[in-house]
Formats: sequence, structure tokens, C-alpha cells
Amino acid sequence: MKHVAGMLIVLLIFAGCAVNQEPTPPENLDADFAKVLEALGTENALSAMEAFDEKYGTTLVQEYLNQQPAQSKIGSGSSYPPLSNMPFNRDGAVYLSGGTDGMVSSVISWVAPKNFPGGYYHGAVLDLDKFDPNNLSAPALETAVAKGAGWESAQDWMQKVNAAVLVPTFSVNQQKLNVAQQAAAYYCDLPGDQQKYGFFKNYVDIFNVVTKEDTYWWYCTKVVWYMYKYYGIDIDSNDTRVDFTTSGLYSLVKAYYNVRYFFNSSKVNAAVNAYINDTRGKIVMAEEIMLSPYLTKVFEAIRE
Amino acid sequence: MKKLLQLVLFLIIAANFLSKNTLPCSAQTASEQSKPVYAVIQNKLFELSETIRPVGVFPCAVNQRAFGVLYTAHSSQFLYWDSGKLKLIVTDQKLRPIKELAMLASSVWIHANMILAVSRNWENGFTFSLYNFQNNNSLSELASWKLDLFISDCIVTAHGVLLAGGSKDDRFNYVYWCVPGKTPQLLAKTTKEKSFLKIINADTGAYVYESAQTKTTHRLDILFFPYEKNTYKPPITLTLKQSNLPACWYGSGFYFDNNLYVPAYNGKEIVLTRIQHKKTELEIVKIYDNAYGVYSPLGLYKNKYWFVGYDYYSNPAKWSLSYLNVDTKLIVHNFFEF
Repeated sequence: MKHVAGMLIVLLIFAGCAVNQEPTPPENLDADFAKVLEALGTENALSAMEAFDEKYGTTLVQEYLNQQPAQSKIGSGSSYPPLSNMPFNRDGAVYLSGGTDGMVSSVISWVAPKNFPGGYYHGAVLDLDKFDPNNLSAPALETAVAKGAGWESAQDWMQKVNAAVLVPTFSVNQQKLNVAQQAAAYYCDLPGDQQKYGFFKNYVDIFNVVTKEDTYWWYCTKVVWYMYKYYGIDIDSNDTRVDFTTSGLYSLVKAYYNVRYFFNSSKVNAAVNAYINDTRGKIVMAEEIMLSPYLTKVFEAIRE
Repeated sequence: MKKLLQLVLFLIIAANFLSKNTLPCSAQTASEQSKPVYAVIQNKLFELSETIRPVGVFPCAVNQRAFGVLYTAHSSQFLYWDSGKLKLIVTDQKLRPIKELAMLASSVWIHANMILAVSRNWENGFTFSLYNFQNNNSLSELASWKLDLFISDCIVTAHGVLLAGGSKDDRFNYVYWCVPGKTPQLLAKTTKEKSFLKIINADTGAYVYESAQTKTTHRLDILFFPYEKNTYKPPITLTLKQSNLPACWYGSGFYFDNNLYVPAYNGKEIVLTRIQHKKTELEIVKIYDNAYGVYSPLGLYKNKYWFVGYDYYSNPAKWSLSYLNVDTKLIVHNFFEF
């Protein structure tokens, strides 16, 4: 009996030692990964990914290129005719876009999951009082621009490659909607030093995802979500059909954990899944809005 | 002391510029205009004279208001703002780029060699920056102002910018007179009720009216801002004399031969009203049916006043290159569908 107890103690000690002896991740992993994040959305993104791939044997470049809309590989600008029949007649209508769009951050495009036709990743909401049918370039849609929340015009939206327009399925209280639009406009109004643009704090710190409730960091679909949340409706469906494994964010996180936990694939999977589940609840993506039961699609054009 | 010197230097430069770059008011007289006018529809450029000549295709959609022609002694160049690239682009007459200049803006209004850029960001207001495009294809910034104003129209004179637009909360319409080196002067403030202020530049001042957002009954006030000693003065509200008034003003108007032309909705269709101004009264002296919609007035070529026709609510894909024939008093349309 004493022998058995002694062996158990020895085994436990070994087991404990085994945990302590888990291989340490490469020394500069976090610093090298930070360089990739910093380069996202800039012309240095590909070279930063190449350097990371070369050092750690990952496939960031390949996945990045696979996730870019076809046109952006060959140049900027859309050769498609304008979406003249896109409707601008319902106050509070939600606009989603996908495909090549030089006006939208490539970070948003890459981070957003694209499971459905259209590959939507950008969003805006119409303030009909600002829509001038005799000047289509008037700013009339609340969205996010470089400094945070901001405005786009009907003409901007007619130039989108892929686009959908959604309207509420419920009876809208106009007075409440006006108040909610003004609440969102408050953030569109703030100076650049009182707000920032991005899904993540410090621009691309992907381990610091901005919550929807945060009012300092903004991105386009969050502006849309905020307006309706203020109205009293949560349009973030968190629908599980939105598969985050199709997003660039998944590629990044997977690459990071593959290097960090190179010795244990189940640990990689657990870390990636935990991250994605947490992120799904915190941020609101265009496809999650598209699947909201509170909205219904009244227009769609998919050309890419 | 340093700031004072900088201000004095700025004022000297601005005054020097303004004395050399006089932009005439665009009021025109028929038969005096023999230069072709240019129209932009989506990404296509047309030259309009006796006939319509397609000039070329831009690499992006271009707003008519963000397009201009730069005339030199022997030739001309085109200038337009690319809202995708956020660049001001100078081209030759075949739209081949000559120079590209960064211009971060949400909208750009080009008047001859003067450019008004509205900032991309709203930060306690939009920033309105006035630039001069110089002969060496460079830009010099003359002034900038920050205003709670969603611009709906503007005119640029040699001495400043008359700006019209709505407040962020859509409660008011404003008209500001902005002079380089000075704080913008609020000339008019009215309640905004689903309307957008439009400006008509005339010989002795500017007319401002509300173009309705939808074709419904709307007030028909027209304000007149006298232009005296290089300055726009506070407005005079003009009384409109006519028994058979339209339901609302709808679209952009223009002025020539001492007549004001304002598009309107009469309950059935869009018409063009010809209005004469006498002291504090306005009188509709003629109504032209079949106006379709006046989106962008372009200018006179001999006996034709050209405009871009568009009616979003009847067909958002249908545009026209249209003119009012001064002699026959008929409106002629050439329709395009995109």
C-alpha cells in the first residue's frame, strides 16, 4: 500500500513537472504578431504577413489573398454602372455593401465574415431628412468614416459593387426614430480626439475587442446597431449561420495560436473557439444585421 | 505679435489673390455666350453646343458640381474631383490625367479656378476649405471655416462664398456669407421642413428658395440677398404674385436675361416657372410645361440654356441633357438611361 501511494506521489510530481515543462512559445511571437496587426489596412500588410509566414510557417498571405474581393487584386475603382434603382425612401432603412470598395477600410473587409452572397461587410443607416433628390451627393447616411462615426451620400452608395437595403419589419415610431438618429448623430459629430475608428482598441489589437456598448471606438455596422439600440431594438442577431471561420480575423487568430501552442492542436482549437465565441457576442457584423428578424430585405444587387 | 504679422500677411496675400482672380457673377445674357457648356452624367462627360458631343468617360462617377473647365489663352483643361481616390484631377481635353492632387473631402464644389472642399469628417461641424487652383497646377488654400451646415448649395464670388444648407438636427436652414480671414456671417435662418436651400446667382444679388424633398405642398418663399460693395447683404423676403401658384419649388433654378427660372411641381408634373423681380415683388410671367426636372443648370450656349434633367421619383435611372430654347420658348430633352 505504501508502495502504491509512493508511486502515485511520484506520478503526480511527474505530471506536475510535465505541465511546468510545456514548451514555451517562440520568444518574439507577440512582437512579430503585433507587426502584422499594425500593418493591416496599410500597403505594408502583405510584406508583414510574408515575414511572419516565413518565420513561423503560417499561411497568412495565402488566406489574405483568398479573402480579397476579385477586383481589388487588379486595381481600384468599380467599372459597374451605378445602382440607380437603389431606394432612398424609408427613414431608418439599413444599407449593407460588399465587394471591392475603395472607400471602406480593408481591415473591415478582411475581418468581417462573408458567408452569404454579396459578402457584406459595410453598413449605414438612412436619415431621410438629409436625402436631397436634387443633389444625390448630399451626406444622408450615418456610418463610420476615418475618424469614427460619420456620413456618406446616396451617390456613394449607388457606387457600391454589391449592396442590399433592409427596412424594419415593425411599425416605426417616427418620433422615436428621430431621437435615435440624433443620438447616433451625436457620435458622428464628435471630434477625432474624442473617438476612434476600429473593431479593436488601439486600432488592431485583436485581443482587445471593442464591445458594442463602448462609445469611444466606432465602426460602420456599430453605428447602425447603435441607432436601433437607442430606438429600443437590438438588430445584432448573433446568428450562428454567420460562420466566423470565413473571416480574416479567424485566419489571424488561428495563425497566432498555431504558433503559440504548436505542441497541442486541441489547445489551439480551444483557444481559437473561445476567442471567436467571445468576439461574436461583442461585435456586430453586417451579416449578423442582415439576418436580424427585425429587418427585411427590399433591395439587393450582387455583381461580384 | 507674430500672430498679428501672420494675419496681416495672410490678408495681403488673400487681397492680392482676390484682386487678380475675379470670378464674375454667372448671370448671363442670351446670344453673348458662344463657348460650349459641359455636362456630367454619372461617369460620362458631354460637350453641349448646337449639338451634344460625348467627350469621354471618367474612371469614376463625378458630380456635376465637382467638375470645372479651366480656360487658358490657347486651350482648356478639365478639373474634377474623384470621390473614390479623394483626389482633384486635372486632365487634358480627352480626359487624360495631367496632374493629381490629394483632396480629402466629402464633397467638392468647383467654380472656375476656385474650389470649395467640405471635410470628410464632421467635428463639431464640417470644415469648409476654399482653394485657388493656380496656373502651375497647384493649390493654394485661401481660407477655412467650420460650420454646423449640411451644404445644399453655394456660390463662390471673387470676395467670398455664399453657403446654404441645413443644420445637423434638420431643424433649420441657414445662409452664411464667408469671407477669407473673417468669421462667417449668418445672413438668414429659417425653419427646415423637408427642404433644401438652392441659390440662384443673378446680376444684383442671389435668390434663395427651398426645394422640397418630396413633391408635396410646401411654402414658396424666395429670399433676395442684395450684392453690394462685394458683399452679400441680409435678405429681403419677396412677395410672389400669382393666382395659380405651384405646390412647391423642386430642383435647381437659374437666371439669365433678367429673368429668374425656378423649377416647380404643380401637382401633376415638374414645370419651369419664369419669374420677374420688381422691387419687393416677384411675378410668374410664364410657366413651361414638360420640364422633367432641373437637377443641374449648366449655362447658355447662344439661344439655348442647357441643364441636366433628372427626376429621382419618376425614374432614378433616367437622365436628360435638356435645354430651354430662348427663341421658341420650348424645352427639349435628350434622355439617357443608366
